[in-house]
Amino acid sequence: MPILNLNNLDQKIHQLPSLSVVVTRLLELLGREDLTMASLMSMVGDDQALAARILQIANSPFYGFSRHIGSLQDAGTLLGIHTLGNIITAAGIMNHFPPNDDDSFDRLSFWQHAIGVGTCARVLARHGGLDVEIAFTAGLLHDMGKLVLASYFATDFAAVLAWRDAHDCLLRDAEQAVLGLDHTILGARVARHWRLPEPVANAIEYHHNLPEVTMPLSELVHVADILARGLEIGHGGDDLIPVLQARALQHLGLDWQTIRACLGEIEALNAAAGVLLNPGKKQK
Amino acid sequence: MRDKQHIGLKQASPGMTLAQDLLDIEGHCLITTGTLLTENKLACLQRRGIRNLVVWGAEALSPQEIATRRSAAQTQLNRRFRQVEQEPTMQELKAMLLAYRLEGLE
Repeated sequence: MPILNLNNLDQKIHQLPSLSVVVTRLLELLGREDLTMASLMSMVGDDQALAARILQIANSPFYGFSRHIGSLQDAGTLLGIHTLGNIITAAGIMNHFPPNDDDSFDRLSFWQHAIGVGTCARVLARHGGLDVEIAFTAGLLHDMGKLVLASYFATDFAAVLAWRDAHDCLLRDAEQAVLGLDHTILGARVARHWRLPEPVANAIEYHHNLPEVTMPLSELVHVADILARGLEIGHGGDDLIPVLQARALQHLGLDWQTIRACLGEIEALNAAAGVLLNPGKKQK
Repeated sequence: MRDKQHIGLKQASPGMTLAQDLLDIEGHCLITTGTLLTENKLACLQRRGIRNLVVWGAEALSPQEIATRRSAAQTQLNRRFRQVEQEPTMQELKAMLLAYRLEGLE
């Protein structure tokens, strides 16, 4: 009998370990107008692991700074509040679920896929006229529900994997069959509980089941996820590929030519972004 | 016949040929495919903060090696798309990905 179901979902989520105190506080403050860069940076400094992860992201190829950023102050000045807010969100979640090699669930490959989707989303966002920072964050966190399942509901997750293997299906089909819910629902509820930005929570919830109304960020992540799978970037728990909804391409103004032109950039950027998975190692 | 190699700027040396347009962080083209990389050009890229680029590999691939890689790319995509072959959008996506994979094998 599975532990998790739609009826006890909210109750179970409230029992989960919280994000770090600092990350929680930062996420609460990020929307406020009286927030200053100085107070933001000072708070980040209280969480050394978070500070290290932020610097790692700031020094990643996504920002292309010609010199190494060594301090939070420099990161804050060079990146600005908007970018920093997204980085804090990404860093907070990555630190909560570090990319360890796990017996039941390969977190390293998971984060490779997640970073890959983030990279795809970021590159496509530029062509589609969407905000690149939130695109990356949404892409990175789109499958957060899988991590929650694997980390906190291990027996249920094992049952899901067994069902998937027996039926050769997508992970979310197995999740629905075994639990009556899938990682998009779980991930979105946890995202809202942890006060992640609402567009990110929506992208987590709808990237497989696109709603009738246009949701640009969700559609973008939908496309990015499928593209990352086609490019074999990491492994998110499936070796199948979901069907791409053509209307997502139409709404985003993307055609095959544009996407084809992005692929080289995506792979190159993604290869260099591997540094995000090696905390403490210096970039070559 | 050569394959494309994704390398860091530190691994690039004069005499290499760029195999893919080099873009800056905003997607603007800095140097086009086919450009010969000189010491000056590499220094310039360093100053611009470029970290990675795609160059033509020095080693020639044998026809056999190329055939193996083509076959591997096809097999991988077939496996990945095995349940969605009948969807027109997925056929287009698969064709695009295959073309992209094979373009590196000139």
